[in-house]
Amino acid sequence: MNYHWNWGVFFQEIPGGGEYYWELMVAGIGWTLAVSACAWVIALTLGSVIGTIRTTPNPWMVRLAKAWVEIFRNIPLLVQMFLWYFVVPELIPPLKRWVIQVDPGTAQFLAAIVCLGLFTSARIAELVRAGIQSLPSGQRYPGMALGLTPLQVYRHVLLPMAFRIVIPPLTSETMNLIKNSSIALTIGLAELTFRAREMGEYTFNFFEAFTAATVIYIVIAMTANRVMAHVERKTAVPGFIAGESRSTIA
Amino acid sequence: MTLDFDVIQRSLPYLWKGFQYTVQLTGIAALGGLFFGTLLALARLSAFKFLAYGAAGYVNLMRSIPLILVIFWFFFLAPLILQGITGAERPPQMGAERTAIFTFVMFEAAYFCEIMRAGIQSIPKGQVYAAYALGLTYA
Repeated sequence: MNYHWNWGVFFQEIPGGGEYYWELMVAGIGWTLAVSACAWVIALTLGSVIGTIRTTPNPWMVRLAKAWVEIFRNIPLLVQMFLWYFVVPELIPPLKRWVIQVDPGTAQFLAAIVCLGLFTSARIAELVRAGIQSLPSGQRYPGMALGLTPLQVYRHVLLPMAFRIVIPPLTSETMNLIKNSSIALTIGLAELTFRAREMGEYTFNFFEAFTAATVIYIVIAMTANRVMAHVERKTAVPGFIAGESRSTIA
Repeated sequence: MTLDFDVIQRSLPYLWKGFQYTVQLTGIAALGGLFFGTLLALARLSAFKFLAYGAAGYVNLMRSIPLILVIFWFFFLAPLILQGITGAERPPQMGAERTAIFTFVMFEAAYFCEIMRAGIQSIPKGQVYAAYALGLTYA
């Protein structure tokens, strides 16, 4: 391979901008983190609610929650991104008027977090449902027998255990979310992958730009992974497999 | 705003082509990914350390970067690798479609590797020992 690496390209000035290319990349990291964080909050909140609803005895609520999950899981993320950015404002006139006058970055950001948030919420809902259903019925019924209301049973008995159980898959879902935020480049949001490609097109140093982006994604993903592992250790309940194996290994 | 659903009917042949490519890509990626993923899983569980670490490194790398970045990587990198192998004057062009197929196979292989590894590891040790006792080899 006869490729001439030129790592100095990050410290070159952008033509006409007065900025350096590394600043471009840092701005990209900022958008990636902001989109991921906001979408994660939406996804975890909605996902927990929808997942919990799917385990309630009310058939209509269960059906609605199921429809939610199936809709957001079965449409490709890219298509959902286009729908939220291009189609939804068309259908709602006041929203469209607002989108036209507002800064395009804001509109892209909102579309991206709504899209990623709802998409991931469907997946988290499935995790939470599986977590709750994996609990033996011997936890739900004693709670009811003690006179707790259904809300209290969920709040004090089922959900605390269910959330602990789903932390490992929730970690992969968080990492998926961070990676999926790169899809936002298709609606023009200037996140990390977008910036790497832009820099490659300006300088023709594609490999340097992509290497930087790859390393940054790995660092972000690994950080998220470590943080979740820490949460998992901190919240582990002694006497359960998850808690035991951790303490014996570490 | 007026919705013109007639446009769907008019562009149906066009959509049909896209659908065919989607199915084709899914099929090739699933089969190719399964094949290479199984090989990767065997490598990852291998007793040879460099094989195991190499496969683990590849899988972890693929799993921690976005698909779209992988596509960009292969789109720009593959011609240079091909040039290195064939020694051509100019980098040969891969074309978007072949890049997509290649990328998806390589990307899915990493995910299938983890699935296959989990599957293999969930089998009780007794089956392995029993097989060895019957005189079967690793492969």
